[in-house]
Amino acid sequence: MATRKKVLLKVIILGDSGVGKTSLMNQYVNKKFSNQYKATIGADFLTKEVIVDDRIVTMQIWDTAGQERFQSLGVAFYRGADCCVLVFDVTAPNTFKSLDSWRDEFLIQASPREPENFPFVLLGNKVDLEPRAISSKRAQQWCQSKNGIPYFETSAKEALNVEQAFQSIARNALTQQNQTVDLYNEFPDQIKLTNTTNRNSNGDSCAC
Amino acid sequence: MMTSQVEDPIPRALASTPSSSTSGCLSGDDTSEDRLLPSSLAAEELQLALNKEAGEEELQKAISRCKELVLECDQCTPERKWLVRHLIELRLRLQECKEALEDPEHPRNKSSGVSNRTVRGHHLVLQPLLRSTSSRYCDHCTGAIWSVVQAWYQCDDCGYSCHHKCLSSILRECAHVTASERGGYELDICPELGLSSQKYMCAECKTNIPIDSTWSEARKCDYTGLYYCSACHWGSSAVIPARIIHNWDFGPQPVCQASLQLLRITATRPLINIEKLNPRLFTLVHELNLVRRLRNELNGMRKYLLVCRNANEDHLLWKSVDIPHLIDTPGLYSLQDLLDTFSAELPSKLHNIAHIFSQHIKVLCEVCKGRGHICEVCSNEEVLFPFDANAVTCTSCNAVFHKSCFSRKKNCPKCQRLQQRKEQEVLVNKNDDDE
Repeated sequence: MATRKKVLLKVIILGDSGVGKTSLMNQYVNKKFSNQYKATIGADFLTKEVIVDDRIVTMQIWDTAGQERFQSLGVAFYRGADCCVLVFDVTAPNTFKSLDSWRDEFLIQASPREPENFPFVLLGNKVDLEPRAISSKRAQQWCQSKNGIPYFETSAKEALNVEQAFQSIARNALTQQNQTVDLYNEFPDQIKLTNTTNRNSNGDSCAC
Repeated sequence: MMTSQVEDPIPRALASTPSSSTSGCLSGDDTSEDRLLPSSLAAEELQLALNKEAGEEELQKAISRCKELVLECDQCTPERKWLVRHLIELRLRLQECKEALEDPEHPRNKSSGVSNRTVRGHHLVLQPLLRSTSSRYCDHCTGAIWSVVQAWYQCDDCGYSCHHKCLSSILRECAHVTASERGGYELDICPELGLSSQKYMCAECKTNIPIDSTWSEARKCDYTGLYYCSACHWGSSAVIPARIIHNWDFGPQPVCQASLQLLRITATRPLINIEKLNPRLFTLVHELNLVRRLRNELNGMRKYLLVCRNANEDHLLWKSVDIPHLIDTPGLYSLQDLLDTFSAELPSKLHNIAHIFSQHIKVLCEVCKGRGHICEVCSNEEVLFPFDANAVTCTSCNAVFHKSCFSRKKNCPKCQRLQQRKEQEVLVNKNDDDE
């Protein structure tokens, strides 16, 4: 029954400034890349329709500002997110170090039902650049320590792995959404405390 | 049919024959005032370039002469100020002249004769004859301007009007220049010193004002607190800024022509900072307090609309706000704003704008809605905005909470978290170094 409904997946991209969040999104949605850096102000989103497991879903991808000075605008859009994408720059070790704080901050603001199982995806961007500061192994170790987050190495510039990464993001987001739906369905026999049922019993089957 | 005007009994600073003695004596009289033109500028040759449609060569010459004069005079003197002003004027003329040479359609080529003149900061434009039959009076000689037959000029900036023949003897400085020079209003209510301090002369034209005379009375200007002759003070009245600021008094008071022109052109400029001048007014005047609250709210909303692409596409800010300073600089009020507050027009106008804005931010726009905050303390699903009345913003991390929630907490939870993270980072770095 839920399959027939139009599905909207809300995806949030987080990471330090300049790691390529906007570029990744632009590459994925518009198939475009620009070398020019322009800081994102606040947050904005693009939408894209994708097919996941024979279902058409609309992805609402929220691109955020990594810079501290733009954080004064709120992050209410974290609420109701279906997947969070963490991005770091493989050539900049500091962007890797701050992943923890991005994750924590997201979990606090979004306050999902099960923080431990909330789907994150880690992207190590700019793999086209040399020299590398964060090895693939180190990133994978971090992912393991966080309950097995999927990890992708991407290049927004070369469009490397971007499609695959977002395909996985969409799938993870969809499972998350289905799970929350299931959660509500765990109580199929709802106890209705309405007057109508009461009146029936009052009228006919009175014990006295 | 030239009307015979009352001949001016006193010599003017810009008399057509500028003997060095007249101009020297006048400026010597008022060394403390910067109202008078410096003697060096009064020289015919300098004025010439602005009074005639001078050629490029003439203007170049005048510019270099003016530059020399600027270098000769002392720094920070009123004389230098006037010379620099003049220099800018000359350069603008030169630019105009060059443009006219290249473009045959230029208005300068079309009009015959002298159309623009610059005197004492006024940008006087020749008015077409037969334009209107409404009565108009010369700001200089107070005689009627018969626009059907008399050539007359009007200042583009301040509205000063005068006959062609009065051009060379204009005394009043352009209100536009006075306003930008002074920067703000006279803030004392009618700062009166008395006729004796003016040596029984009109504050503007220096005509003697005898006290015992029946035909020439001294007229007081409520704005400047000075006395004027009947030629400079026509008995017009205006609302006085200082009276509003201190007494919330909107009663029109008699003012001289110069003050009238000044108040008229500055009426819509945001020049009054009530927070600084008389903050108690907000507690005493309910409407003003309401206006302040609404303006601050709108200023908060403006920040959202400025960075919202949807609002930019719709030109929401441009469309809804006709007076930008109302929401750009919420602390400053123009004279007109205060008048509108008094008449209760402004609060309802601001209410309407606030409604349009909040409708966009909180209901219509997905992006703006997403940029709201969620109170961390109560974790309520309600989306909060910094401009909401029940919201409070942390001054150091900009996180937004419910006022009631925040007051229960001693410290901002986000700031605490940031602090903890920082400490942890230092520890980790230390361990890294040890290894």
